[in-house]
Amino acid sequence: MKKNNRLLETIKQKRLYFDGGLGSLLQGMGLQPGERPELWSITKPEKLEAVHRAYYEAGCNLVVSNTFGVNREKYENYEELIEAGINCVKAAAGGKPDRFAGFDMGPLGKMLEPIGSCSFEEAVSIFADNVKAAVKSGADFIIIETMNDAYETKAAVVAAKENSDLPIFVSNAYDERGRLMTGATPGAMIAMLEGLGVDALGMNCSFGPDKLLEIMGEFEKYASVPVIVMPNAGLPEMVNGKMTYNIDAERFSEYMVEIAQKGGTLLGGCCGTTPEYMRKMIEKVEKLPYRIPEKKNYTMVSSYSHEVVMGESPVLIGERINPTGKPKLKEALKTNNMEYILTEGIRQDEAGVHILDVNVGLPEIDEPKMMKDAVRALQSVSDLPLQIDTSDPEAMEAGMRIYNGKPLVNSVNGKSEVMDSIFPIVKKYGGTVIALTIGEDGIPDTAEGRFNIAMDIIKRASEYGIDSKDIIVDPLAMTISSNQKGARVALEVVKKLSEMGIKTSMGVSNISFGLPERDMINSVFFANALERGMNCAIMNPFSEAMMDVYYAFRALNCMDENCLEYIGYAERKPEKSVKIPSGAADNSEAVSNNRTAEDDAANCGKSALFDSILKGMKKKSAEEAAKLVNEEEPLNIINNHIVPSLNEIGKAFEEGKAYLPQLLLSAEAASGAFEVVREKLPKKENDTLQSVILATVKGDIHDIGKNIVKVLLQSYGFNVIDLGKDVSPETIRDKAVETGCCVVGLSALMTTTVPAMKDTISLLRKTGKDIRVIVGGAVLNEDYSKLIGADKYSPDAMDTVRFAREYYGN
Amino acid sequence: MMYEDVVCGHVDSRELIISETEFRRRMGGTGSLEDEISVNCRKKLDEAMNCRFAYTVTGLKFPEPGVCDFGFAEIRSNNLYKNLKGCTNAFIFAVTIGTGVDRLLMRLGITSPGEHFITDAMASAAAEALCDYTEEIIRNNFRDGSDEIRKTGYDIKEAGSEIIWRPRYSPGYGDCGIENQKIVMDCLRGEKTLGIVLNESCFMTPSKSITAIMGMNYEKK
Repeated sequence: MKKNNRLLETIKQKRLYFDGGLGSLLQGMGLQPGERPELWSITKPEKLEAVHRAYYEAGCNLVVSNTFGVNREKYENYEELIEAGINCVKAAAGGKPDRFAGFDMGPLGKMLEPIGSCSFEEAVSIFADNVKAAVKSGADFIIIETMNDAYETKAAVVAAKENSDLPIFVSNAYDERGRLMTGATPGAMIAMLEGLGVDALGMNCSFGPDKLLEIMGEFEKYASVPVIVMPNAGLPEMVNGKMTYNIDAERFSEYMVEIAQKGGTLLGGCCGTTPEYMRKMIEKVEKLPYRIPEKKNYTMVSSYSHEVVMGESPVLIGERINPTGKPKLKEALKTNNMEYILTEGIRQDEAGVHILDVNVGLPEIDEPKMMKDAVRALQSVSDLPLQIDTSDPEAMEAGMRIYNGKPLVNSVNGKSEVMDSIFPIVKKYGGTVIALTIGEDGIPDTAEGRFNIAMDIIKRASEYGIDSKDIIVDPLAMTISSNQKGARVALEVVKKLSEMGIKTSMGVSNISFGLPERDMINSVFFANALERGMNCAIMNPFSEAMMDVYYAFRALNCMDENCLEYIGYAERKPEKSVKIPSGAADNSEAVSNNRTAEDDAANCGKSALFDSILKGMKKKSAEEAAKLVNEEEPLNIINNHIVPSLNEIGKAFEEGKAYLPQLLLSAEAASGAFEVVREKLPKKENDTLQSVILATVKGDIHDIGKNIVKVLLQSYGFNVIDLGKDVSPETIRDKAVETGCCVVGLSALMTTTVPAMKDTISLLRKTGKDIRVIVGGAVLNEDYSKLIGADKYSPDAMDTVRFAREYYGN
Repeated sequence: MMYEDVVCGHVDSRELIISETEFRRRMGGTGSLEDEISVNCRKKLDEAMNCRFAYTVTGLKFPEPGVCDFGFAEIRSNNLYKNLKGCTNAFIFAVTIGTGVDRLLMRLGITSPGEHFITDAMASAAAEALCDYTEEIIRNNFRDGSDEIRKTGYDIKEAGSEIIWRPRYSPGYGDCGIENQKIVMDCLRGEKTLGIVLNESCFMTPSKSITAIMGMNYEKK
């Protein structure tokens, strides 16, 4: 249906124009400050119709409804308002050809997770109700506009796709940096929106045409669909008590000519523009030759902030979030230990990868749910694009749907059944997909066989409407320990595909499976593959040999201007010292403090580990612990070095001799040491780690106090089940029941959220279990805590530690 | 008459002068911006910040004690009333250092609670610094005799008068309920101009955002 849409067909033939501003015109017609303009669709339809008609008569073709701020959260009668708004436009159009009535959909007024509290699905649901009403009212197209967040934009597009066949146009509001307020570049937006299949995209509002012209280059470079540009009439100024914009209609039209010459396709105006602006603009732009953007051939993925383009420089995909051969990650997945997964993600990010692979497949877990949770959590702490890595189509869809950006997807292969299950998902949510050269009969031994499968996959993808630029072929690195030709075959396929402009990727480390000193083989193979044109590598960024190759290759191939990145890498090359666990980068010495020479002298004779913890030196503490585990029993290290040091800083804190940041840095250092020792603890001690549940209660988003308590508890060896902030009473109760944990710490900062704390305690009591609840936060005190039924009020973090230690008899 | 539009702008994060005193206050009296760890945290913070401000000026009347009428809305608060009483106009403004800081804090919450604490304190001090910066812009733009004040259309300028500024005051303090954030956000069109939204408890997102109301009055020299 959409294929033959009259509007889309018209855009291919001739230039169409959006309308201009509405708000300031309505103000001129009597709209009062504070009055909601959307209501005029019902109360003063004749005035709206007059404005819409004026735009049509000025030559505009794409006039949009007065529904920018309408949704079910703001108006109970949203359907009525949408219908009335669209009817006003249709009445003004008068049924004439080349006059189209658009449904205008603006932001919700809510921030999406993880920064805000509105879930992606809730946002989709609100937008979906709008779209359904617009379809019912006979809109010709949907324009999603003035969006300043990539995720909210995606929610609106998904809702429009799932509930209509109408053309979907998207226009975002960019700021002074040329980014959306939540960080996305035009390239990232183009990658995501074209992946989702929108019919036109671009920008509006914020500035005048002079500023938007500066951003046009990005659209000209990357966009393959028509580009929308609807600037303000400059910036607002007050003159004699009246608001005016500083670019008049004449100058506006001159800028718009430049924008059209730079590839602006669907032009219009935003705040401050009038039918007169549009008339002048159309008069001038109409004389220019018309062309829609040509198809671009960039293979791109994106996150909520930036795009990664394949083919310009090798792209590193961190392989560490994959349970194969990683018992710790397996354990983390089984116990839903998201913090471990996030730490792995951040470490790889810091090691310099461009994309993070996310594989959470284990037979005993709910993979679709875990994929969703992992994608959401990783995107809250890293701005890298993700590679959603699964063989389960349901998990793939779950991950792709809630992903913020355009993901890389791993993988599809040449089996018909697999292609039929994966390609529809890739088409719907827009991704770039890794294609494994596995056919119906398995993996061919020859380069020719694998090449042919790659071609078959690309052809089949095109039948689903997926372009070859969105396929990255993986010719499969098979270990040379079982078939020595494995490397040469894969490299030959890389070379052949590369010569054809087809992008390639490999899981490089597989090449050495079963061999000793694998890094030696992996790194040489990696260099060979890069030399033959491989664009991406799924690899271990903690392998020094691999990173050596990456930086050297770029320096040798003019990808690193003046070798600056190579030099920087060489200067910070990891020292070959004692192996320490993840996340133990040094904090240097703690913040300047009030410690005296006497204090230091008092520590004479204490161990180096004790001293490192006391001084908050994270890396050194881990190193010292690593030395000690060869000399002492793990429990002795905890009891004789770590805990006494923590007690000492804790005591100093309580006496006002040390301050909170020092306490925290010491706690971090202790945690680093504890991690080292924990690996040596007999299994039994490890299994019986004493647990504490922590949460900031429903409605409260302040979590720093809770986080302080958490780090101190962890440093004393407690297992902290951190439920985060804004947590419902039910979630806390369910977790206590599920885990059997009998110590629950609740935090609240605002008086308005203390009732939620009371409700939580009440629910915990109803479980009938002997759960001890300790509460803290700025608004609480001893009396208040008793009033809401808590077992203990804790004025500071050390007090909570003491409570937990007493409870567990430590 | 209401000053119908909102002035908004962007500030380079590196231009912000974070107060050592403010930082130390939020650190519980310890630390310094010069500490090595603080310098590292500042670098990360600078990369994450997207500093924006928006302000508008309104008329101001007091229909009864404890009530401030801004022309488009009223706020009931004895504390605010005391602060603004006698003023002819109010400047309503808001600042934010952006969602990137919330993301940075989430990340540091995983990697380093110590850095998290320090960066959180620094970010709060940075938001205060941005508020000071914005206040300075307002005071400069609307200084006695400037054209800007005439542009508002307010009939408040008398020859030989000078402007008296009252200290800024934020909803959520004293008896001025936090629900008044809605009035501030509506009048500044905060979602569009600053990317600030309010949750059900009227907390702002991005979290390091500040709103303020500042009274202005003229006195004969």
